[in-house]
Parts: sequence; structure tokens; C-alpha cells
Amino acid sequence: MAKAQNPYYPIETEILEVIEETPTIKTFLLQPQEPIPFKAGQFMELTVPGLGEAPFTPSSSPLQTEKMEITVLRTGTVTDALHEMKAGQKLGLRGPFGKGYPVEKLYGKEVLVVGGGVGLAPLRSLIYTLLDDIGKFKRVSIKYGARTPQELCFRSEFEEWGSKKGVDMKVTIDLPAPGWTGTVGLVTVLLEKLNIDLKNSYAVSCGPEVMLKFVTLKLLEEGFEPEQIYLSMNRNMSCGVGKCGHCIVGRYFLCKDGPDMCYADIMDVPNLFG
Amino acid sequence: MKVWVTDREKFEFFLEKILADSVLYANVEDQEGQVHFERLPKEELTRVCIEKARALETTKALFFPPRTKVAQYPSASPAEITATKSTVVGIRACGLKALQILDRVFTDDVMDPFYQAKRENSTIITCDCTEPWETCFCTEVGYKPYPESGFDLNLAPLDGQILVEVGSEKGEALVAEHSELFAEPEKGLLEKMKAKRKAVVQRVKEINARFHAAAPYQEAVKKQLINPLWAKQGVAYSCVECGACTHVCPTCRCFLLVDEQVGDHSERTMVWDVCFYPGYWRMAGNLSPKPRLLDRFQNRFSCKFDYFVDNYQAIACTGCGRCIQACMGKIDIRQCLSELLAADKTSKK
Repeated sequence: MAKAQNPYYPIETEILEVIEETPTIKTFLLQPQEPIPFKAGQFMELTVPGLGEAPFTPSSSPLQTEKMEITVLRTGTVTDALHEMKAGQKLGLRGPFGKGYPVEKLYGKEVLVVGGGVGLAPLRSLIYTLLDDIGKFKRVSIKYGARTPQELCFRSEFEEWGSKKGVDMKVTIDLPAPGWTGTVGLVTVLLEKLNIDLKNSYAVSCGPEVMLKFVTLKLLEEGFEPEQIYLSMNRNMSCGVGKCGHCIVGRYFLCKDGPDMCYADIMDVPNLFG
Repeated sequence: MKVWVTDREKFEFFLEKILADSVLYANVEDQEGQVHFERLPKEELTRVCIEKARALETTKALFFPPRTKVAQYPSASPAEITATKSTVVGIRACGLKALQILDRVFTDDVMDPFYQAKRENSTIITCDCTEPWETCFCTEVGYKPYPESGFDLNLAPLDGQILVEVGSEKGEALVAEHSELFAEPEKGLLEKMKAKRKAVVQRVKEINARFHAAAPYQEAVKKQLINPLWAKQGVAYSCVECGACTHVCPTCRCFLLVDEQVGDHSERTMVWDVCFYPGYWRMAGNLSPKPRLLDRFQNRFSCKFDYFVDNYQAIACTGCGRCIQACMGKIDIRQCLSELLAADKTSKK
């Protein structure tokens, strides 16, 4: 038998730069010892040495293979420690894991990209992929929501994305805020009366599970079929290779079969969104 | 496959020979008649117990230990993964089936090299089950109390002799190397063994007659498990989330990777985890997809009797009954399955 590689061993990775996106979200520009090619939507296990791992989907373009960006919301033990780290310090990376977004399935279709909060991070990797080859898609509509204007992630890029031919970019914040003249309301308000060719559309969504739940309900109400909805499901993945059991959703291991799941495949799972 | 015959004295001599380059793990009987699975020095071969039934402890821990150091970092390259050669005597059919189920999980598209190294370096000598426990129910899940394949050698004690069945090339070579210790069985001996096996099958069926919990289970688990009545008034009610059932289960294999700082480097350890624990499901921000004990209790049943069938074409239960012995809430998995099957039957009327 061929000598098996150790799937639990992290590749040493240097932090090249830390970019503050919002008061609670930072992007880490990383350089692993060896390039880690990935597809949009595939995820990495990021190690803070001696403390632990957590799963993150890169937010950078898969076309950029030497370096990788990972965007992190400060919300727990590993992410707290990460947010204290500086350029020049070392991390570990394992991956990529999972299948990634079904990009080829989206060719010739209208693509609805629906994000909430830091959920735009994995979608940014997809957006770069779609925008790089925009001619292959009928239209890309990005619908993004955050709680406050300060918490909008990658805000400086919105104008560039939205100005591209074939791209429609809409942003909302949860509650009115001083100086904000844009849309107010949860991200589902951007899904009202969608002017799209329903039969030739796919929706891809990433955000907190409660948001995914209401986005799914809204899309179904608007006439989407479960087969047309892809959700980035969240669980606390540990091994990444379909063995440890933590990410099971129905019969699927999110780390192997996802983390982006077709809603039709998981809609019968009891208490899907917790 | 080919069956030979030997006796206890010759068998011990055989073991001594093959233990020259490996360590021994075997079943031993204690003073109270309980059978344990433990590491045994070569000088104590007389203690090897091939009679009775499966040991209290599962063989899982030998191949998938409660703690395994899986990485030390940073380092120039990952350490080479090796395992000590071992000879394992006394696994019953239920334990062997469990290993075959773990094989599917740990050596599928992505190989777990730690498990694989231990498996590859082990010689498996199984035994027929001769005196099943009151908690045994292998016949109900569709298995037999004697192994049919997947072993190197299988032992069937019979009238002071031991029938030795060859189950692999490795087993065949071991017997050939020590052919002076094995003889052709006399006429009628194999028939006697078959009759004895049949009697044990009958015995396990008798033990379980009152439960009406025979496989298949998938449909009933899929449809009835979310029945809230079953959960609120039924057997799930007394679960105290201790995790004993998953620890003793030979097929439960959930784990967590834990990192620690040790001196000037970091270590990653694979530790057993339990899907009954709230912390097992906890995500960043203290969110959980399974906040209620009931959700977690159901997950274990769905995992074993539904998801496993879809993913690995087998149920993840071999009827060993260890969970019944270990449960502090006196939950009997046969009773759980029986209630699910009955509910499913009623729903179809």
C-alpha cells in the first residue's frame, strides 16, 4: 500500500498582512509554505498553533494560488486569538476540503448571490470567480445585508463589482443609521419581486443559519425550486475528511459533500437550521 | 475455507511461536467470570480465554485509541506513521464486523494512516461465541455469533479440541509454517461444529424473543424517529448524556482534534468525542444545531441505522449489547428499536 499522507498535519503558513474590514472582522493575507490551490467555496482548517483549529472558506480569488485571504469574524476562542495576531506570525493550514460551489452548473444562468454579515467572505471568492468569466453567466445579482453600515464587509469593492456589465449589486442594513441613504431592512427585502427569469436561475447564499432559513423561505415564496437553492451550511468541522462526525447534516458530511449544499438534498432533515 | 484441528496445548505453542515479533492482546476471564480484553505478556498464554462470549471492552480502542497524537508542529515534515505488530485473540463476530465497519470510515477515499497502520500490522484470530450474554442480539441485526469472513484464523472450541478455520492468506501461511501443530479434522467434527453454532444462534434468538426488534430498521428510523411521543414518553427519556454507550460501542467513532502547546512546539491529539454532549455540536458564537438532548439522542439512532446505511451500506450496530450493559439510564437499544418498528407498523395499518 502506498504510504498515506497525514491528513491532520497543518502546513506552516505566514501572515503577510492583516486588513481591518470592520470593527469585528479582519482579513488575513496568508502565504503557506507550499501553494494550496482551491475552488471557490472549498474550505480550510486554520490552526492557531497550540490553541486549536477552526474552519474558514477563503475569501480570495481561487485564481490567486500563491497566497490566500481568509476573512474572520471575532466570535470565539480561536478567532479571538487570531484577531490578536500580526503580520510575520505563523499559522497552520489544512485543506482544501469539500466540493465548493457548483460553478459549472451556473453557466448560462442568472446567479443570485445572497450574503449576510461575514457570510460575504466565502461568497467573495465565488464573486471573483463569476466576475472573472462574466460572459459565461446571464447575470450576476449580489444581494448583501449587514447590521450596520460599519459592519459591511469589503465595502470598498462594491462599486467596482456593481459597475461591471452583467452585474447587479444591492446592499441593505438592518436598521436606519445616520448618514445611510440606502436600503434598510433584512437581506430578504432585496429578494422582493425579483425581476429574473425564474426557470434559468440559481441562488447561492451564505450567512448565519437563521438568515439562511429566511432567505430560503423567501426564495421559495418567490418561486424558486429547492433544486435551485445552494446554502453554505455551518457546523463545527473538525477532521475535514468525513470521519469525525461533527459536521453531519442528514446523511451528508458537510466537510466532504458540502459545505455548500443543494437545499433539495437536505430539506427533509429535521430541525435543519437548529 | 480450510478447517484444521488442534488442541489447547498445541494452540498455546503456536501462539508462542507467532508472538516472536508481535505483542499479544487477548480475552482473559477474571475471578467473577467476566471476560476482559487486555494486553497479555507472552508468559501468560494459559490465561488466554477462547470460550464464553465477547469481552466487556471493545477492540475498537486497540485500533482507534481514546487518545492518539496525530501531529507535532511545526517540524520539517510530518513524522512517519508506524505501528507495533500485534496478534489479537478472542474477537467475536460482532467485534470483527465492527472493525469492518470502522475500516469503511477510516480507509475510504481519504485514509486515516494511524488506523490503517495498526490494522495492517495486526493478525486477527477470532473465536466462535459459545455462551452469549443476556444483552447479546447479533441475530436480530442480521449477523451471526460466529465470523464468516474478514479474520486471519477463527477458533471454534469443541469437545476439548479446537477447530481452526483459515480466513486469509496470512492465516494460511501461519498454519503452513507450523503445520506439525494442526491436523485434518476427523469425520463428523465439522458437522458437530455446525450443530453447536446453530444452537448458539438459537440461544441468541431465544434471549431476544421478547423484543421483536429484528432488522431492517432504516425505514422505521427515518419515519418514526421524529415522532415526539416516542421521545417524550418512551425510552429516550432516561438518557443522562453520560456518553457511556458511545465509549463502549465498537462502531462509534466520533472524535475531536485538540491542540496543545507542549514546551517549544504544538501537538495535535485525536480524542474520542460523544454526539450526546452539547459541546460536540457547539459552533462559534455558542450556536448549536442540536440544542436539545432529544435532538442528539435521535442523531445517534439516525447515524447508526439510517445515514450509515446510505453512506457505507451497513448499519453501525453489530448487536454486541455493550451499550445496554453500560447505560446508567437503563436504556435498552433493543427496546428502542422495537418501539420504532412497532410505531412504523401501526402507521401503515
